[in-house]
Amino acid sequence: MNLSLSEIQQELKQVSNRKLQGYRIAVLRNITVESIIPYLQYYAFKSGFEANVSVGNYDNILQDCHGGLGADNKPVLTSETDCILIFLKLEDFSWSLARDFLSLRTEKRESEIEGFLDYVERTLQAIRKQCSAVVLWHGLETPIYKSLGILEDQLPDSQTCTLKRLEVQMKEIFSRFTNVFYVDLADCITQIGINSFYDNRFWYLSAAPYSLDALNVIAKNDFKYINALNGNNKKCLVLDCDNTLWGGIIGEDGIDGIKLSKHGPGGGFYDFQQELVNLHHRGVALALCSKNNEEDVWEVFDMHPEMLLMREHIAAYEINWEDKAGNIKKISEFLNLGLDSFVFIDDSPFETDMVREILPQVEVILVDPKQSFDYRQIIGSTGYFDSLLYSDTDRQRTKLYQAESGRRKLQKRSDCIDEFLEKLEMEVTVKFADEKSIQRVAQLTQRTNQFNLTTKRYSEADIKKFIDNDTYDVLYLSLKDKYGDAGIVGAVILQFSGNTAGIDTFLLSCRVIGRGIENAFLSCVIEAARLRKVEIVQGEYLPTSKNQQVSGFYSRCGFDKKLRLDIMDNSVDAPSYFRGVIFD
Amino acid sequence: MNMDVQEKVIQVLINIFQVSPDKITTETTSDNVENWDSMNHISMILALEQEFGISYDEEQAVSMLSVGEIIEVTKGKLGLQ
Repeated sequence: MNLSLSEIQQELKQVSNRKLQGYRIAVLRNITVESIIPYLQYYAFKSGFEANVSVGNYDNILQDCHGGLGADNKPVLTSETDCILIFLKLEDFSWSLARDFLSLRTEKRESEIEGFLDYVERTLQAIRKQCSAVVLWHGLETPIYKSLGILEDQLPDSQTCTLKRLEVQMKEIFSRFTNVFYVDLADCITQIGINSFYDNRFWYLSAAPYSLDALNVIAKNDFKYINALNGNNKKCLVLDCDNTLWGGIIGEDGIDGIKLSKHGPGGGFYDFQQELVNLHHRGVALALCSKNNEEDVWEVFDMHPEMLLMREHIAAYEINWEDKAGNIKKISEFLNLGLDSFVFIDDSPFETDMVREILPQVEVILVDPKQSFDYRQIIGSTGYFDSLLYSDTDRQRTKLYQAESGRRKLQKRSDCIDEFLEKLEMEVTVKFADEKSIQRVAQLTQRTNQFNLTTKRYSEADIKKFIDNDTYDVLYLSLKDKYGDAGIVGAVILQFSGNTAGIDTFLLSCRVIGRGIENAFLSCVIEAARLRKVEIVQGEYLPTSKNQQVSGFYSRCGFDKKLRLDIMDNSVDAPSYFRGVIFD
Repeated sequence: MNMDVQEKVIQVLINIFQVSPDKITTETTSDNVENWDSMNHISMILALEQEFGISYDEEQAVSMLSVGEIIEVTKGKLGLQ
């Protein structure tokens, strides 16, 4: 998930094209950190700002705070400065405290500490005379190699314990100013590991201690603070259900077939749900956006014994067969939260790409259900929701959302969706079933519940009989798009009698619902009927608890009230955004 | 493969020194580029290492002051010549 410096610089080329609000950052330091600048610019850009970074003079922190000039002969700090990053590495300030601790007698140690704290206080006072910028003071790094080795943690006067006390003392000083924060570098080190954090070559050559990866993580971490202070932290998390909250597809696998358990392979989803519950308690609005029948989803919530998420945790939901971009917009209106405060998680590249394209303000995360063991880490490491306040209001926020009422009317699919679907380069191929496809076609009749007009279940032997029988035609549809070859995802069984072709079976795998593939399929089916020189196509709809969404399918395609279509005069067109619709 | 190394090196330098593409060629040295100062030199080395997944040693890190040298040393690190 971490971009390389090259990739970041590519992204930054867009900045000058967009008129973004400026954000002034001053970096005060006693080490070389200029390489952090593109990372600061990148995270500022992601937050909607154009960063203007000025770097103070090397090891001149206090002087810079008193109006010192930078390399460009302009003051490093001005009243316009928005944010100050301080990098004060202990090595340069006090070699004894940092590296030569065991040589220090108690008195000398105390005076080193006093000198350090005094410096901190004077620096902050000088800063506050210049500006009210938020100050992020990067903390003391714990010694990598402890002076007393394993004894270090056991003695209250050891270097590590002394530095921990020093940290507490620094925070005490910070609390006397406004908007001054101690930023613990240990978090950053933990994220990428100590071996990746430091670059000793450049530390010796030019006092530049950190690797590029370290600077990336530090900048990213700094922006968690900046975003929180600007109110830019994210406030709503929209969740897909199948393969995101649980393993598998509830509409196909049933409540006993989905994977969700504290131990075992469903554990990744279980742990993920626990993190979601934690987010709920922090005041983040959780919303569901799933292509499913509502009852199926709620069945899991209400009946699955290992479900951690509960209805009361959900602030809003759109569970239907409409496109997710439209649904997310509805959720945004319902919660009265801007789309730029939204994060969306889904396991389908189709859904994530679509939302990225149509709603670029939404932060989108794609997860891989085959690596559900990473889900907890993925959601826990973003920092998107980090805020610097935590109150009772946060705990109650979801109840406030739920108290409001109102569902929106269904919106018509917008042109944006069609554009997106066109970019998918979908190629649909419809063929007569043969030996090789019998197994898959039979499987589809047995497993497909939602987009299934008649839900007639057939065995492989049944399908073979249909194929061999002259009065039947079995057709299958396979789909290729830019994501790859989805294989056979639809099946139709036609029964011919007199001048009529009856559609005994018409189904589509739930994975490909919502793209108009059914229309392309139907247009081919009508072609097949024409080959047999029939005049009428007769549809059939047998309602079940799971297939309500297709109740209007045939009438939407121009069939009459008796679900008949006179194909001498009528046709069904495949939508224009398909790259190819091939009938073999 | 060799063309790749040359192209990538030049692209990294274009990005680090923030100059137009025509300013960096195989003949370019640190004297020709205004932004090729000691600060940006460090960034350049780190970026090249990240791009190619290699590590230059201390001496190489300081002494590669021309595009030609960078390409040669980098190819050596990659086992190409």
